[in-house]
Amino acid sequence: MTSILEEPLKTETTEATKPQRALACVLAEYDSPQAVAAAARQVMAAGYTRVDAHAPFPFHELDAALAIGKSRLPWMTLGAAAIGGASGLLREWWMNAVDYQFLISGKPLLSMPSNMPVVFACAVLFAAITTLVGMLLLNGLPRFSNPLLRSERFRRATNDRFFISVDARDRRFNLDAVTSLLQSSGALAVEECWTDRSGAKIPPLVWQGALVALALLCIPPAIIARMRATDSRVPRFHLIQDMDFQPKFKPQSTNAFFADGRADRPQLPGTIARGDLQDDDRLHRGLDSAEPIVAAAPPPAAPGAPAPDPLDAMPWVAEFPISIDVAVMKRGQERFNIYCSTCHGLGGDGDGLITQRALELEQGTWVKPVSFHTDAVRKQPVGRLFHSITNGVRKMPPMGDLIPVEDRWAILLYVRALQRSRNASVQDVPADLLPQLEAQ
Amino acid sequence: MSSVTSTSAAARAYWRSLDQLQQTPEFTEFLHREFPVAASEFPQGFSRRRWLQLMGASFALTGAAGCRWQSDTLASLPVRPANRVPGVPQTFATSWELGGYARPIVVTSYDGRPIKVEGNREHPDSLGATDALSQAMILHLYDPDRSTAILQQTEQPAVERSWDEFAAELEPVLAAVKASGGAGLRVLTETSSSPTRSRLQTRIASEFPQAKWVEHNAIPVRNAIAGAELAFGRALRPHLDLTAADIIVTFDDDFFGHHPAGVRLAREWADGRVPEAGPMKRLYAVESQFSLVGGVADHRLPMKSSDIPRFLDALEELVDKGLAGAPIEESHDDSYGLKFLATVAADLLAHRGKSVVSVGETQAPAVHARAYRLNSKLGNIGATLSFLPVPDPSPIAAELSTLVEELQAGKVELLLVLGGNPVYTAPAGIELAAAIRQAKWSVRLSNYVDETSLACQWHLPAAHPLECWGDGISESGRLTLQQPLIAPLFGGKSDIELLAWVLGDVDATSQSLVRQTATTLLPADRFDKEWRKLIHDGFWGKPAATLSPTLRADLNLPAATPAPTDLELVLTPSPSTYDGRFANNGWLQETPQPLSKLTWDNAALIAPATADELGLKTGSLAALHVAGQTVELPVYVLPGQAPGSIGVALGYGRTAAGHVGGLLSDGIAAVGVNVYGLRTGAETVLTKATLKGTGRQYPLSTTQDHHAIDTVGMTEIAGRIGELVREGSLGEYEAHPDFAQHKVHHPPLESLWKEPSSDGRAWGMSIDLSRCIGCNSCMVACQSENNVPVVGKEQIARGREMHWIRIDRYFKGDVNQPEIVTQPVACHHCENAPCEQVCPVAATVHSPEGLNDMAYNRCVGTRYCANNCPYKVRRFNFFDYNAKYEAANTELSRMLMNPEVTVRERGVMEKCTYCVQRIQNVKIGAKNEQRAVRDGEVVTACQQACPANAIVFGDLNDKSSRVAALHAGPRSYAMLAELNVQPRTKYLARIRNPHPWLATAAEVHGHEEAHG
Amino acid sequence: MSTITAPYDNTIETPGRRAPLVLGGHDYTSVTKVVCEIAETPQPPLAWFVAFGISSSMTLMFLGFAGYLVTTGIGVWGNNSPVFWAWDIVNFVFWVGIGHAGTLISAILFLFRQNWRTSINRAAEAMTVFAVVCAGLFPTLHVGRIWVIYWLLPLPNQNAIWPNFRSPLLWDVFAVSTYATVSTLFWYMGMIPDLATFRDRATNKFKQFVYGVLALGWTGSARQWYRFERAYLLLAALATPLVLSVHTIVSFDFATSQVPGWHTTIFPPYFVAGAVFSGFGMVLTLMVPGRELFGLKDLITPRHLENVCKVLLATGTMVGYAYAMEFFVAWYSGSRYEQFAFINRMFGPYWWAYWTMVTCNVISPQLFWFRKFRTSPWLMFTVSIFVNIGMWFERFVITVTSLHRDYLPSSWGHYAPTWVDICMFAGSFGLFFTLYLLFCRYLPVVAMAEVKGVMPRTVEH
Repeated sequence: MTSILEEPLKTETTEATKPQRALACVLAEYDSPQAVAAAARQVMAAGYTRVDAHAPFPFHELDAALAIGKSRLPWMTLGAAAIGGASGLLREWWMNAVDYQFLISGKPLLSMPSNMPVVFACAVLFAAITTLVGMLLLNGLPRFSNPLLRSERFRRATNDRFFISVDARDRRFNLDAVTSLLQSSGALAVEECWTDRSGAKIPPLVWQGALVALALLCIPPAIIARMRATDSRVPRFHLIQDMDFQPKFKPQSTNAFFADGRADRPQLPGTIARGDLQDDDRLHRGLDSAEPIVAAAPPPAAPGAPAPDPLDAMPWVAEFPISIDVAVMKRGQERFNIYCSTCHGLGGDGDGLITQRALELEQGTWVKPVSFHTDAVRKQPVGRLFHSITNGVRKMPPMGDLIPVEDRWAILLYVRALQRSRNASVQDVPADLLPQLEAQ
Repeated sequence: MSSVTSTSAAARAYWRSLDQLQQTPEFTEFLHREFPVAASEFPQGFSRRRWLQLMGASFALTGAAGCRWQSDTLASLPVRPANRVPGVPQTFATSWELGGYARPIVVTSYDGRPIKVEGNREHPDSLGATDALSQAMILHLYDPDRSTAILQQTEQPAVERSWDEFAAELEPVLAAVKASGGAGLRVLTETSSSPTRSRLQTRIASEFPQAKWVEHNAIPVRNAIAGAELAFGRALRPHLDLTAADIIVTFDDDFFGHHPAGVRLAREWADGRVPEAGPMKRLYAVESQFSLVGGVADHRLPMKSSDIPRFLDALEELVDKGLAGAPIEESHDDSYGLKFLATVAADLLAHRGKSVVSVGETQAPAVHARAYRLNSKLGNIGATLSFLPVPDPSPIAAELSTLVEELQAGKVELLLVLGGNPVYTAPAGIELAAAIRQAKWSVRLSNYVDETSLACQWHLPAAHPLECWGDGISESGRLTLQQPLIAPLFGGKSDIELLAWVLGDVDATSQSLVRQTATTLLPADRFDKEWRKLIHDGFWGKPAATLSPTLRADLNLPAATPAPTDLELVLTPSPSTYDGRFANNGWLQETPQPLSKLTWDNAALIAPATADELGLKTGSLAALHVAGQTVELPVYVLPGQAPGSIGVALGYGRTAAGHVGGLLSDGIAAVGVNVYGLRTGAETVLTKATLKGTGRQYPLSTTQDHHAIDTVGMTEIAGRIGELVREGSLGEYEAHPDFAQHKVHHPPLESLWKEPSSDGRAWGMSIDLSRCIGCNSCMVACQSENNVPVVGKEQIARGREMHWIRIDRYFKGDVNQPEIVTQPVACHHCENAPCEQVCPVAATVHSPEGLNDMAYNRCVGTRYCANNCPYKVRRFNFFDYNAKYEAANTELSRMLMNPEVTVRERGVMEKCTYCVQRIQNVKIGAKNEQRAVRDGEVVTACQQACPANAIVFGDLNDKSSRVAALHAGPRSYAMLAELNVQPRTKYLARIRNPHPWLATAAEVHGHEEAHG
Repeated sequence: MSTITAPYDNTIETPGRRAPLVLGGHDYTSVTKVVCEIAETPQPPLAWFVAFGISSSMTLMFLGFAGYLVTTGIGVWGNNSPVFWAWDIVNFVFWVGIGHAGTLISAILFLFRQNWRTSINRAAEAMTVFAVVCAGLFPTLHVGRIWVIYWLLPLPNQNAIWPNFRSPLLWDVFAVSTYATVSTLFWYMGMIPDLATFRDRATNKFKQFVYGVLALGWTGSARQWYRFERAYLLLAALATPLVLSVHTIVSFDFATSQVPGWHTTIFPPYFVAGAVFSGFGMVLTLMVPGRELFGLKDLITPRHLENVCKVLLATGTMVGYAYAMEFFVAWYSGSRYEQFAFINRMFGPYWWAYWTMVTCNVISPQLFWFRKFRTSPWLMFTVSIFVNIGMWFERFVITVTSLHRDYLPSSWGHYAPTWVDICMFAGSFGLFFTLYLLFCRYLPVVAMAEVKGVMPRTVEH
């Protein structure tokens, strides 16, 4: 008894803790459930409200004795389950039926039966977590600094002893009254619990450790952030290559096996691919003869203009080997404007943008394209012109590889039209269009 | 034109002579690495541990080596070749030669690299299809085991030389030979149909009159011709035409196998087996070993090859009787043989002029002669069987044996060994290797440093058929051209170039030589045009005029003598390695042999009855003894093998094939057993053989029946086959055309959900089991098209083969006279695909066009889809099977890969895609031309290769498409339809055409039975 | 306090008198002492060290082989076509099954007010958690590309592609992870009061700190207890359907697929019964030696063991019924494939596995009809071992035997485990026991608070 009162006096004398002391509660110890239950009833009867009992295991006399009300916990659980299930279903619907739609085994995008298991799992998961967390929060846990826990005697509360604590903040609290009440309730011992802020401090080891851990945790995001912010010459990290780079040769890739390091190989001379026979000389060579003149073609980049042109001697076609209509003409115009006009000019006067620029810069090497409207060109048979387009002439590169054969003829057709337009007479205009012309 | 010239300039620039390449470190490394990574497979010799290490290494490589995103370099050609867009494949008509005949092919070239072999639609000997070997020949182009350099092997180790050094060395020898009129010159080679080569041969004969020209063929191609010589007095080769033949009787003749006309005959046969399209052919097969022909035969009689001559005698007798007017009654004898005989005779007589009797190369000339006589009696000659002339033997021709004698006598100054592999294929008693070493100068031209090369002083790298020009004559006698698709990778030369060299024109290229020959064959006036046409089409002109010769008046064939009753041994070309030249071809090694489903081995095939007698089982190692020679090889018990007959495939046991087929110098054991040593000459049927068990076991790898199946399983299988592979007799079909749809009775198929409507395109496939001959060429085609890896013997044994399409083979009926049914199975692209719903990551989903797509890089590899696939067509990468391509120094073998198909990595599932890359290409093309995709425009790899035209692919929603019509047809059925997976691949029931005398009860009223 | 001091057989039912669940004259103090001293003793029994040595080294072996597997490929296992799933899934289902007893005992028996659960539920819950850990490892390791396994989770990703919620495997992911979480919560929450006890008995600062943090400042106040019990009840109510659902969903992996022998509606109840069966089997396997080792005979009394035996008898019989019913369903289905699947189980190449399963699972538990077997610990221990073996084989039979011969005979295959398979299975036991031994050493193996709750209370004065 005295011992209980002396003990706090002892601590009072110590300087450090002096200002921090405050009475937390009065604690009484009992040896059996029955005893503590009886005592609890007694204390409650005395009108105290902030009373609690402590036992190593639950027993229900106390609930009644302390008039513990219903808990909100079940409702929290229910709500969580509902939210969990709903979120699960929502997720499945959005992911499989909205955001990432795929036809799978001929099943509908959203089929309830196959969605249920996940819905159920999510509901239970949410509910379970909420239950535990809810229980802890309602119990004010975790709470690591508790005056009770500083009492040597109270250590047996989780073992084999039973306690009642009356909170000092109780409206009707009065130390002596409470003490005597408790003593009279058959307590083995009664003691006062004092709050002691000093003990509330987290041990330094803990918060130091926590700080270090926190610092370490910051490093990876910091690195990532930096890498994302700065640009680097080396390619990005790609730890597992998966099938991003496969042991095969994509077009225009490299292959160290070949001296030139190219994976693409040239077609061998003399070989002919399927559909590449080009046995119609009129169409493919603009020549009107049984025998194609194979060797006659000059090399692609022939230097300068040769004096007596062997080409003059060859049997060029004078007529177009393709059927002619407006569509072809339009196609020809389009292709001409794409491929030819840059040098030859939209009108074919040899004043294309490139030419103009070259002349501005006074590039000596530049050979001005001839105008299509010179007699020399106008007199050339179409076959000859076709040959020029195909294999190039003077500075003009061979366009044969770039422009499909039909398009080359179409371009020629348009060129002919351009030539015609420069020296046409009124007679050439169709009668029905004449009025419009005169109107202007 | 200009484009061509420009590229030629470019090409010259790129031409790689080896010294030019020495500079690039990669290539030096590549040339001098001591252990080139096998192109095709971790060979059988590979210990599993070693192999797993390789796997591990590959992981390290993909994981560690590539910890950063790889940077790529763009390397385009300086001048863009005409009509070629990077990444858009071109095709070239060309050909290659096998067994003395040109095999026409069309090769797809991707950015100037050949990657896929296909058939030549226009060519009458291809009709757009190929056999498996043609599909696989491209693998050798990129085989790292190819010989890369000229080797002078006079000193050991062999020294690498340049062509110039070789020329310098050869100069004096040639001079000497020329001086002596070629007295010391010997050419050892194989039979070839190349006009250019025979032109050069005649030139040699004229310029080196003393020289000798020896042709040695591992697989004989002369018996039929010799037979004709016997029968008609002149050497001719038979030319079958099945279109007109309603009744076909074959004796040991597998003309669907490696026959030069195999592809054409398969098509002609298949066209005559479609009940909707008029009368059906009927095929009787008498053979000792199950062949493709025997597999599709309506009636098959297993019989020892050595007994066949007598059976043919008996048949002729009976036919004679019939011709004499005596009617032939149905035989009610117990012996199936006699019934069979009577039926065949009766059927032949009933179809004079519309039947054909054909004999295989295994049989002696006399047997062929008798068959010709029988055919002429039946009036078949000229109708179903005609003849083509064969070139006259060269004046300088000689036999191998004489060559060996001369060699041993030291008479040979210069020996040229072109092609073939005589040292390996030489029969017993001919010590060719030792003999060759006696020659003063021996030069070997071949693609590999093989057994023969090792015996020669000089080895020259040969050019692959896709690297050089050439020509040949196809089976129907058409001039067929071979044009190169890529410059020789290792600067190899073709045999004609080497012969030209011997003749003095050192600079002659294969191109110039072939063109020169063409000038003599093509009309001179329009030569240039025709020449270009020849190159473009791959062949030229009309077929050679066929002859219908008359029998010699004095033709008198002795009656066949009864064969000894003890075991006989029949040696056949291997379906996989032919005569052994494809031993280093992983694709073929892993392609299951059509009947036994055996891979990576040859075995002694024996009948169950024989097996019981000898107390042998599949997999028991036995000692095969014949004519004083003995080899040990595993036994495989094959139902349908003639009792008393042992069938063994030639072409195995190579000791210097490469890292796949066996390379003793690298400690890699040979694949299978070499049985060439068992024969004394060219004969392929040997009597008086013995087979004794050694008590040891040998693990065989098969792709079906991975292990012996217990009786419980056997009975169940017997019950299932009828439902899976539906077939019926012609009578049954005529009674109920839709009988196939009633083989399985199941409740109406209803889905729990509203079936999604697939408008737009709906891709589907139809496979006609009546046409399929089970020849495997679809398997190899698929493997080549889709970068399907080769996994090796151990993995096959574990049941981890990767083939996207397989051919299921089931035996039916009596185990001694079984019928077989074959059924190609690939992904069925089910509309309610069971695989899709179980994939947790949606890696396999349905495309709007009904394809069951596999997103490789989404796959995490749970393998659930494969469990759930009732057809078991899904394949899983249990290891990094492509490690050998990811490793360093694999630039060569990588070129094999189809750039349009993903190279799958370890841990992902894969399966048939209906060749989605081809579908896309066609769709893109159609879109560019702003038109709809035409029916038949999309051709899958398997469909393309199929000689029998059994596979049809197309859009099911296009009601006019062929596939839609076939699906709607009465014979069409879906396998396992009762699962309501709604497969897009359907089968057409197989229709047999049995003769009523031999028809089984089932065939007579099969339909009722199905109901019973 | 009235306590039983004389030796007493609490397995005999005497009408009108409830048999005590704690023997050996224990009061609250001594119960606390008995349980706490297991963890407090500075020197655990030698047997513990031996067991821990073995199991931890087996764990290392497991990790080693896992590394080999991941770097080399699934091919190091025996899996093949058509047996794409083999021991990996067998072991997964086996461990998940074992993981059922704990939560079941804690939850279902709690709802049924079966007080005898109190002294074994803690250990059983621990077993659950560790078994689920082992179970989770196998499906994780068995995928071909483990480095992308996170694709199974619905994580936002730049490709905007999502998992396929129609796949049973995905249901597994949710079911099993939920189950793991909930049973861990359940286990931990039950431990809070006992951890408080440890805290209050702690002799040094470190223990006090660690247990103190784990106990979250529990003071055992009546209000805390009230909410605690509410929460416990709720969790039990949640866990009960969860337990049943988990193995149901695991069974969906099989039941919703096409494979003959898998595709059957009987699987969910059949699997759950099997799970309970195997779980209780493992409980026995652990309890019998455990109570000897840690001197818990008075708390884990013969009565407890006998009750477990009775459960085994019941569930074992249910499983037997399921086996029979499978055959009926197959026959009744009229599908030749289904029918053959079962004929093949009995007489096919794997007949031995099937008959092992039947002997161990159906026949051996029938011994528990005899009191002798229900009351003599080492006999029941033997039977429990049989049960474990049998249940493993059940999963083997279902998985491998069904797969190796399905629809197309051309694709029939054969399965044989490799040494990697075997070592990894053994290694998983190592991991399990390592965790379990650590639990025994450092955590309250018996729920003291609950035991005290069911101890007889004197009604004197």
